[in-house]
Amino acid sequence: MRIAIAIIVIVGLIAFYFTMWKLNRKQQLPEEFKGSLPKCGSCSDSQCALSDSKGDTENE
Amino acid sequence: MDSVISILTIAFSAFLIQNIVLTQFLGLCSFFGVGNKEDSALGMGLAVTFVITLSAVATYALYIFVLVPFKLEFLSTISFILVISGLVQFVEMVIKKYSPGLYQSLGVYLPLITTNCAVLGVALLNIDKSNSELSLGMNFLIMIVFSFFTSSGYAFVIYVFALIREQIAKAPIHAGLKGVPIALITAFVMAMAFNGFVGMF
Repeated sequence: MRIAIAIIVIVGLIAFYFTMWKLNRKQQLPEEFKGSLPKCGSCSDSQCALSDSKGDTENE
Repeated sequence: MDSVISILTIAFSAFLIQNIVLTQFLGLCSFFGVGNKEDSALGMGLAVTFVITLSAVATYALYIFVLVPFKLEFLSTISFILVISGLVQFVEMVIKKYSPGLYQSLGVYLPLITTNCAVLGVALLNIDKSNSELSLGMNFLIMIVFSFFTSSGYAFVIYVFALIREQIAKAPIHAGLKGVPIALITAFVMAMAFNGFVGMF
């Protein structure tokens, strides 16, 4: 019984996370704010979506 | 009166004496990563303060009302990670919808908070701090005060660290010390200063 409740709690929390992730993905920024988001320059990982150097790599 | 004094003591202790970064060494990755520019540090500090306070309430409620009654305390860490990740997504969505201006300044730092161990650390410390002799309401109040002031301590320290690093960047220092080495020395000196508060209470 205790194991079943543990599984329900974990599955519920995973469902909560994926619901929030989906809703966040669906929510679009207003047009006037698009393209003006500041980028993060804290590390040099060019694969990171937030990286400052990503744009430079893509343009090359 | 005693409870007011004890709450003020908890607030002061969480903010300075038991500072999450310089005394407990949590959240160091973002401290060194983002603490190099004043604007970034302020944005990160505010975002972390907001998320830690919110996630502390959610994780504490989950622990008290779900995990303890069903004797599932061993699930604390994994369930808190999921709650924090979900809450960060939720906060990002709400800010995106209702305050795109704020999202512009904080948006970059919000996803980074998910990987900040200070958020999980505060959630786990709250459980250790809960005292069975006190009422649920009092425990809840102590937990909120502790979480808010701990995260404010993080914001304060990362902001001061960024201000110092900006000044150091202008100073003529040896090439071998530039960058991470001087940042580590700065953090060491700051940690020594904060350790001076230990023993006040």
